[in-house]
Amino acid sequence: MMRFLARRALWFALTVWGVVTLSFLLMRAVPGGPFSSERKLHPTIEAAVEARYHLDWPMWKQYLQTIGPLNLDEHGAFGDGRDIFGGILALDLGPSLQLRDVTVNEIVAQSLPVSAALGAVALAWALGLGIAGGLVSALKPGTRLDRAARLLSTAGLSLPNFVVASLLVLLFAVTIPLFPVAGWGAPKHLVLPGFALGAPFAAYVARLTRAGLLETLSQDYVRTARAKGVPHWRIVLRHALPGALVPVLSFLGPAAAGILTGSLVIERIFCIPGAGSHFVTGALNRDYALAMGVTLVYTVALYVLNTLVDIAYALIDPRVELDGEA
Amino acid sequence: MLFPHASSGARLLSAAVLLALLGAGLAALALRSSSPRADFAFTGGGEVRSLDPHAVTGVPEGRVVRLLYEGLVRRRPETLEPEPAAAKSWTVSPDGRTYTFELRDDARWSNGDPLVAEDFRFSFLRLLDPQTASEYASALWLVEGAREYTLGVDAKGVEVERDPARVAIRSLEERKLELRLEAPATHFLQVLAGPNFVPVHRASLDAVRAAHPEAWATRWSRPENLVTNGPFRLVERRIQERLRFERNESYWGARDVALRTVDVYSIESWSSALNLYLAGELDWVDGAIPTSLVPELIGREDFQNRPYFAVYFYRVNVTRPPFDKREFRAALATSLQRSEICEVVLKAGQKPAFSFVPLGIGSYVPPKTFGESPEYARKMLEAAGFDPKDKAKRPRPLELHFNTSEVHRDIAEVAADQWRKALGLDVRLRNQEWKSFLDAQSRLDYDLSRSSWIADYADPSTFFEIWTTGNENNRTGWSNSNYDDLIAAARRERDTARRLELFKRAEQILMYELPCIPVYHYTTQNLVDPRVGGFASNELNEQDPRLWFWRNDEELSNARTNRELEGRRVPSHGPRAGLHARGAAEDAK
Repeated sequence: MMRFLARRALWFALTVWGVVTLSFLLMRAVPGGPFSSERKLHPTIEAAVEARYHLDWPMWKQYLQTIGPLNLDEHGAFGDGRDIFGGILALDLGPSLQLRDVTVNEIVAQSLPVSAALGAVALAWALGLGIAGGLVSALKPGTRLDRAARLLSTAGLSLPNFVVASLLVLLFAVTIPLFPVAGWGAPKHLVLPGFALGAPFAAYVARLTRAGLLETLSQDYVRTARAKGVPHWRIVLRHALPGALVPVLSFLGPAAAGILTGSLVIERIFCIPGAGSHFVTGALNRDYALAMGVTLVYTVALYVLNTLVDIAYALIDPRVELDGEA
Repeated sequence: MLFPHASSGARLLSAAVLLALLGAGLAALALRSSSPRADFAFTGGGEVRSLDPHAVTGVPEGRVVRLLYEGLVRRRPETLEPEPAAAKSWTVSPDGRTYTFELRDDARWSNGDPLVAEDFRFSFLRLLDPQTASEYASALWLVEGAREYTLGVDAKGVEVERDPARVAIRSLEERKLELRLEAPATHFLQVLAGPNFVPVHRASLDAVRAAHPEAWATRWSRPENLVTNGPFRLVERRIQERLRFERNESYWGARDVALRTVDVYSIESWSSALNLYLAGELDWVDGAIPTSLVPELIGREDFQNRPYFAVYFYRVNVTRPPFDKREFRAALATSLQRSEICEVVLKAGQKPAFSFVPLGIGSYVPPKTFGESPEYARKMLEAAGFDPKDKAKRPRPLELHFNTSEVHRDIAEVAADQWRKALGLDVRLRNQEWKSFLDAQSRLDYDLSRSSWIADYADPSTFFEIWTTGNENNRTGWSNSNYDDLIAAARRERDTARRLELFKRAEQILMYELPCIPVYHYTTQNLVDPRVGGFASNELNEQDPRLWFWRNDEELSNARTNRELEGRRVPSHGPRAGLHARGAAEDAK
């Protein structure tokens, strides 16, 4: 276990470094700068703003400033020393270039918990509905119930989440005013967006559960259990289901990634102040600091989630040995 | 193995419990205490870029600045004429160059400090300082010495020391401010009424800067640090969600401000804003409505669209053949069927534009310019040396450049089709994401490029400066010394009639030369609860938040009667459910 974690930590550092370097270069390779607008700045003024954000520095120095941990400007380690540390290694993502009153750290601190809460609810919907649906389908294969569940899961997979979201708003917020149309602040604000975001994943989980359960139910050890007279529900829940859920678990990694990065549209539709929209507006506005910050946070989040899934994998399936991983 | 002795069911259960706990914890963290709905809630689009009045440009930012700050003068919402605000009166010297403002004795900051002339002097210098990076610094270059202070060079391009003492802004007495202009400018008060020319509180700014040399900008705008002088003050800021304002009880006119709390929401998606409005969560939605929704809204009582001082146009890159030929540009301008674009694509009452300057700004009347005539356009095309029927004399394929957006694409498609039909031109569309688009446009990497220009104040000069030689907003390569001379003369002209005449002649040149092809003049698009009183409807779409109030039933029915007299269709029922119920609750308070 410890060896597994150590190896993961090493790869983590390498991945983050790669992502940071690549986004640093990509952001600066695209045309247009953070301060261009329809009303163009006077060149003298533009130069002054660029200097404030150190965009006048040579590329290597900007890169070192981004990485940290030493702040290189006039207040930094080699200046008057009032603000020695800065950059990613000092956990300082710098000021946002677009939203001039806030730092990227503040933006992340405000928006990440929101996205995480939305993602957790979406995942809960996905697992709850998906496993229940798959269970029903697998226990009565070929019946109308099975066919209905499979039809729903096909619909869930093929409908884009903004369509699902619009339908939900129309049905459960406008026609039957059960939930707010948009906004953030109370648990009721989480229900519709969570569902819309989780729907395609629920559909996929349902398929995985159904297939996995049908397979394990035909295994020898299940037949043995049946022969021993174990009650049906106990066979399903204790003997067959855990094995059937292994593919679902391994899907959790990609699902978490999809939910995190796919939340943008849902966040827009439901006016949720999450990280998804910063991810996109940061890049669109050439807000180098914000785009870098959100990319970094996503990288870390995905890496950690995938590692957690791998650990859970070992928890649920005794045959998996983490340390034996090649 | 972590738990080798646990049964698989127990493991599954523990994993589920862990996940549930994680979710619940995150939800608890993310769902912040929700404060009750504000007296008035509106949205002007996405997140405001900054609360620093000297650093902002956009319309949503301007609205927030007007809640927080008050300048020397403001525009009266109905007439757009300047009226006293933080200054109770002013005098202009006989030569029209010296403005002396007398501040109100009861004007104070939100922390109780008196508002003094020195606050304005400090703030105007700050606005001019290149470190502040204000896009509106150049607007204050009307003041003597201001341009040199910003640029560090004098009119001849010689480097000079940036000395605040050389800027002709002086505080004569504690509450008396004098500004001396380089040349008389009749529109100076119009400029000063803009959102950028407000004071900031020096002591609190200096304190934050001293404590946080790197991060002062992000600390200064926090509610606990921000000291303002307007009718409202900031009490809460949630990024990408909303700003909460409360009436500033230190404001000199606080007794006449009806609303106690105002929320400004950051909403990127217009249809979500519409949903929130229909659900009663928002009272006013200001923004560009998707054209598909316009027909549904246009007849409604709560949808206000009025002429707007803004123009939609195509820039023409005059450095590239065949656009270097005036006749070719004239052929393009006269073969466009603007009413088709307005009626088929836009549908919200936009007016075809045959002049760059919209109708009715100041008392300016645009000159008679070109008309629409396919025959004339073909003649012009021939005059430029082309013949669409002759393969050898056909112009090269043209590129119509616009930033990615559904409405710009629709307009571009119609325009391209019209040019193809009328002149046989092969027009290709090229769309780019906003920042790449701007980059290409300023590098003159285009044939024809979409643009728009919104008036900053109610004076025609706001539309003319950009076409002068070397102006950074020109971006067409066009330069005309006669035009420059006329604009320079208009800058100095004190007689209103003669000044307007100079502008008229300048526009004649502009519309003859056509470095820009005007397409249409915008309309404002406000979706606002009819129960909101004091809501201004003017061509700058400018509001005075001090005047907003909630109408009771009698006031509402009076307002409706008055509007019926104006000939507007008014449904007898309220525009949305729950409106009257909430209004009644409001009245009961």
